[in-house]
Amino acid sequence: MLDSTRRQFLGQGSRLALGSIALEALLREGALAAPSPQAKAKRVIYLCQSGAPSQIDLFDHKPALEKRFNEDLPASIRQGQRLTTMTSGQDRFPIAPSIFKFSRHGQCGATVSELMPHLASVSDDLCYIKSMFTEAINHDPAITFLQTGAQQAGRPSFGSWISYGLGTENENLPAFVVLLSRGSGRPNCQPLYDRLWGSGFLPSRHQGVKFLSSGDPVLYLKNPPGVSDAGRRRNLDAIAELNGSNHEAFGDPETLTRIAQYEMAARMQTSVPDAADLSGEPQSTFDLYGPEARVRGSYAYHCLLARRLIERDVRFVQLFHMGWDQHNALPKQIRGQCRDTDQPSAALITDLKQRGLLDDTLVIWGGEFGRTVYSQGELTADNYGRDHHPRCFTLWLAGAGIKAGHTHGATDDFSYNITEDPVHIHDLNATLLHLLGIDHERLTHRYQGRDFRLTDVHGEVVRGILG
Amino acid sequence: MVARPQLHPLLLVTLLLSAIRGSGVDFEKEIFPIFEARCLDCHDTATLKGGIGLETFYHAHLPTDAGEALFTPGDVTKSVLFHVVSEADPEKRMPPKGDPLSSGEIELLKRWIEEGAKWPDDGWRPPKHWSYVTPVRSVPPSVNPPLLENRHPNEIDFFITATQQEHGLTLNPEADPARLLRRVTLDLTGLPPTIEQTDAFLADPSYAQYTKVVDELLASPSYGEKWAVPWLDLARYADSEGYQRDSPRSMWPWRDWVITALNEDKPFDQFSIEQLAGDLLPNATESQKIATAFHRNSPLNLEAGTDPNEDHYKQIVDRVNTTGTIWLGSTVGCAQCHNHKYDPISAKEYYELFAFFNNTPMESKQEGMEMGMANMVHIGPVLEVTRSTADIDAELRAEAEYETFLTGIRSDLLEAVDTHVKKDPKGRESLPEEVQKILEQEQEMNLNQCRTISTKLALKNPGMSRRFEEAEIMENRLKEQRKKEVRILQEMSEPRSTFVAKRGDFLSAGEKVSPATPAALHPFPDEFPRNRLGLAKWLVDPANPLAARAYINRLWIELFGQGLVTTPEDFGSQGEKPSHPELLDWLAVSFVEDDHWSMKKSLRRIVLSATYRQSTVVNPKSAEVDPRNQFLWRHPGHRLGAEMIRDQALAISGLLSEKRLGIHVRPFQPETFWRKSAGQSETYYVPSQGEDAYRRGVYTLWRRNAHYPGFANFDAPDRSACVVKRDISNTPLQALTLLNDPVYVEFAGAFGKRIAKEGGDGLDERLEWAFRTALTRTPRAPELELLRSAFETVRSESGSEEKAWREMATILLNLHETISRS
Repeated sequence: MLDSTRRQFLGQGSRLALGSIALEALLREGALAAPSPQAKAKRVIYLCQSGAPSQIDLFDHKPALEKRFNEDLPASIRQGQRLTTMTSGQDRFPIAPSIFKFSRHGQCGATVSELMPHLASVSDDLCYIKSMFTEAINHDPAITFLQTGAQQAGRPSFGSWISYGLGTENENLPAFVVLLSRGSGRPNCQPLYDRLWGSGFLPSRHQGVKFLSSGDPVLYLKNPPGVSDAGRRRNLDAIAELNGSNHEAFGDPETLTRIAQYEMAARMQTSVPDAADLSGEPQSTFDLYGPEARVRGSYAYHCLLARRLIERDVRFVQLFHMGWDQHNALPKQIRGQCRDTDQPSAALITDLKQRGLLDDTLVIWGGEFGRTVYSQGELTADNYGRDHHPRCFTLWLAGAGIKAGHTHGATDDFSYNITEDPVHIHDLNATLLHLLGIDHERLTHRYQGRDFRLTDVHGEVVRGILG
Repeated sequence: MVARPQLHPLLLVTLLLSAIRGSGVDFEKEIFPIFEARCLDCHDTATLKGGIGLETFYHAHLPTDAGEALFTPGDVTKSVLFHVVSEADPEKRMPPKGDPLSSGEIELLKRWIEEGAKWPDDGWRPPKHWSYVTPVRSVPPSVNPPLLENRHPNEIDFFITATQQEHGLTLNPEADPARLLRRVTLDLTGLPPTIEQTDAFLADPSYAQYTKVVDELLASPSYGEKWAVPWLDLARYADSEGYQRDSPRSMWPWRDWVITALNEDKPFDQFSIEQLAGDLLPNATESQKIATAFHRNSPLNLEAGTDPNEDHYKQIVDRVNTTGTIWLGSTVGCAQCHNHKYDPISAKEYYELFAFFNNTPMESKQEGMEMGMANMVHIGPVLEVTRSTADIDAELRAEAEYETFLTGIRSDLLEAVDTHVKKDPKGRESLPEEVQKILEQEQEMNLNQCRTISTKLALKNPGMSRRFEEAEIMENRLKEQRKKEVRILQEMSEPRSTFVAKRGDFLSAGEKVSPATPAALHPFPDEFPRNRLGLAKWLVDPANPLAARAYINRLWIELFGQGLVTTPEDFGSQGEKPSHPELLDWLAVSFVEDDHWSMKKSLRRIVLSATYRQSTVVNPKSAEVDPRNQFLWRHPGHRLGAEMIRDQALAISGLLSEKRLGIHVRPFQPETFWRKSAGQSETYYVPSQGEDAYRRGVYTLWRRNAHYPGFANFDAPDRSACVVKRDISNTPLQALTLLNDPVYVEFAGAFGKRIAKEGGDGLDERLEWAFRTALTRTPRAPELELLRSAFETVRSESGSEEKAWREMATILLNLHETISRS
């Protein structure tokens, strides 16, 4: 009965067809007509370690420090540089050597601490940058800077720029997905918030879609209680037909987009749970990622989910793992953080490689700044804390177009100042865009009378890390 | 002691020598050719790399981006130009490419500077940009009469149709009365018309009646609730600090001030002066002081380790930039780090504006240590506000709610204590002394005592800690209501010194500056005080060419989805030119001179125009000529804003609360959303009970780091910074919100019940009533047919009429037409 009405009304359901044409246009739309043929990467997984992991305890090995335990940091090294007000009042800055053992790994001989044994084992696939630096010294401005290229809120995030520049390749899932997990090292830590994956002044459809860890994976994804799939379909058809009749009468193309977006929403209702359903994964997957991968909302679960989303052609998946802010009790806290992340991060690399996805997927691991060589608060033989340190930190990359088994840049004997090949956040972003086939100086958006870029007016591609 | 300038002996010698030689360096023949050959690639007027221009007299005499002088006549030591060309380090030397300048060339430059750096004024100045020229009231063009016959046009339509004629376009016919009524009611009050209002208008849809309706709507208290929203976006109003801490702050009395001021139609000049400097008005009233909370809406960083001076600097920057955006339609913020590249505002002038705002007390300081970290607290000036009866009623209700909640906790605790006592042979004696004391006291246990008992006895009561936390949130809220407070501006008696922050770095203090306004803008009258009050008066001085234009343009955006200037945040040289410059100026002048800054009058004029009243229908021929509808050949019929969509659904479903003003409310939202993304305090979201769950969106708690998801999905900004124009996106998340958000599911349920109850008897009658309640207009026959058949399908499948009505309600609330201006 409904069907016959529909046919009379629309003529063979042509409205839905029109809707999908509109959707087609919507999907293909990217600011750049097409990524450059030189593009090495098609997709990105960004493993953001929020709170700032200690480079000194994980990657930037400084054996000479052992002999300097509790000595004051030489003024020649500190050079009167700015500190946070958390430690600027300390009467001394005692050197805290890492208590963790380091060894060399893989053919490349990368130095990695005992905290990251799994990651160490895939070192030949990674490229470590030990000479990263940033401009901000507190978390909020720094993570905003890492994410958007500006310290103050309001600019588009990296993922939004990618969605804006390249559009999406997927008709059933968002182009930019965000996954948040809490660290067991420091469960009460810096919170994260929507503007970090916001679209700033870009059209808001480019903002990241946050997957939730309990309830529906996407807010309001599930039909409300008492509404069956068939019932929902019936509603959607009626809505589409009434919208279609409105379009027929008024011709506003926005109505067609609305129809298309309702259809997209309906597809997301099945495609999102399907992507998030791990029941089809064999035991070997969980052996690889670790048992935590079965716990929804954990970092391990998100690494596995990231791979599943990438397989489904989601353009940009960003994980945030919180809890890396070790101002005190660093040894205890960082063990927890590494337990959360070491095996799954390494598993993700292995898994992508096995599936042939690492060749065109870019993986980035890093936080918003580094940590100080001197101890914040009391220093004992087995305990110390470290304050924020923007002047150097370590970050690693893997995958598409990245020079594997390589270490770039170096710091002084105190992991305090950069001695070789400094890489600014803008340089990193310029390089990531380059790998995605985008000239960072040409991906712009005009707002407030200015052409804005992710890299502001800076950034140079770091040739030394390209494969 | 003041240092007296001394003539350097060497300079004296040089001067003497050149006097003896009788001829100095020839700029045109000897100096400019060096610039042309070696410098202008990067330092011509088009590029101005580093803020340095060597092509014109004008640019050469501006300080560089770093705030330094390119050359100081007579003093090479203070001449960047000389330093960079004679620099030994090739990394720092200029020019960066090719050979360094020859020693002869360097010597020439040196002598030229020592001789006074003579550069003939070539007369070049940046051309005065249209927006800096005072608007004049142009005579509306005459338009071929038949075009506007029987359309009841006003001046706006003459301007619009004249431009249309040039492009071979015409106005659409007038929208049908029901659609027009719906559009204007939503635009003026943010709510849809009721069926009664619709019937009344349909009985007499004349222009005279339309005018009457417009006047009634403008007088409705809902007007202020609707029009406050764009102002709150500009003012970056929120109920939390922002940044990662994002703890609650009490600013809502200011939000009420805005709604009240709009409803009273406080003229825009007074509206502006009170918000920027109400505290400095003679005998400032409480209301005028509350108004100054406007600039206390800046985010505040209470993250441990923040330097309070740095955050103070950032707040002033935010105040300067927000002021520039709203009253100057200008991107003054560009000059924070360097001379504005395109508009005539230098970095020094930026900090002169900054100086007006820099005399307010510090907002935060470090206090104590927490886990080895300095804790940050707010210390800025706060005003305790007199409470209204409504405020006191609200407090009493909140108190009752809190008491009921606490009673529940108490009785569960006592039960747990009983069980505990029974298990121990020593009975009550076994309880710790502290606990016994609490149990024996006469008065009821307070929250802290409940907590003590629970901890001391290590009671395993699932959910109790969560309930404690909820109770604490309610308690805090109650405190906030008992003491109605708002943060305000205050002028310090000892002014703070202001320095140019070189390259925008607050640690690099440059030249000291005092309050002044940019030279390229209208003059600052001598009789105005050189403080915030003077600045406020200067901003709304009728001589300011920008304030009224920017205001009118924002008004236009609200009504037509895009401005007459499509870059409303930038009227500068990089912004778009107005699509209808004469109309913009005519409206701006009328706003100031005829309406005396009355916001209601200027709004009224626009909604009475034939341009506003025309239909949204797309005429394919016009669409081909002007696909972006820049010339307004149709009403754009753009989507409603976030709050309007929810308010409308509340009104349609009959749930909308009529309560106005007061402390913010928390409509239901999924708990998981709040916990993961919100700041460190208030980890739980405790939804409001009763009527407060159904208040208008403007009263919804605005937490910057977790703002209401139902609004965020419809482009409501998080309000971390001033937003002039919201995006109007169209996304699948919007579909999911309207279909599945429990709030909308509840609205649909209520609407369904309402249809069955109020919609009349027959099926068609009810369907028509429902359709008209949601969309104002009457359904066309096929639409009614489709709904009837859909209804019958559900009813026969489910056997439930209620379910069938709920589905009809869902369909109607989800239509594109429902969430748009049709």
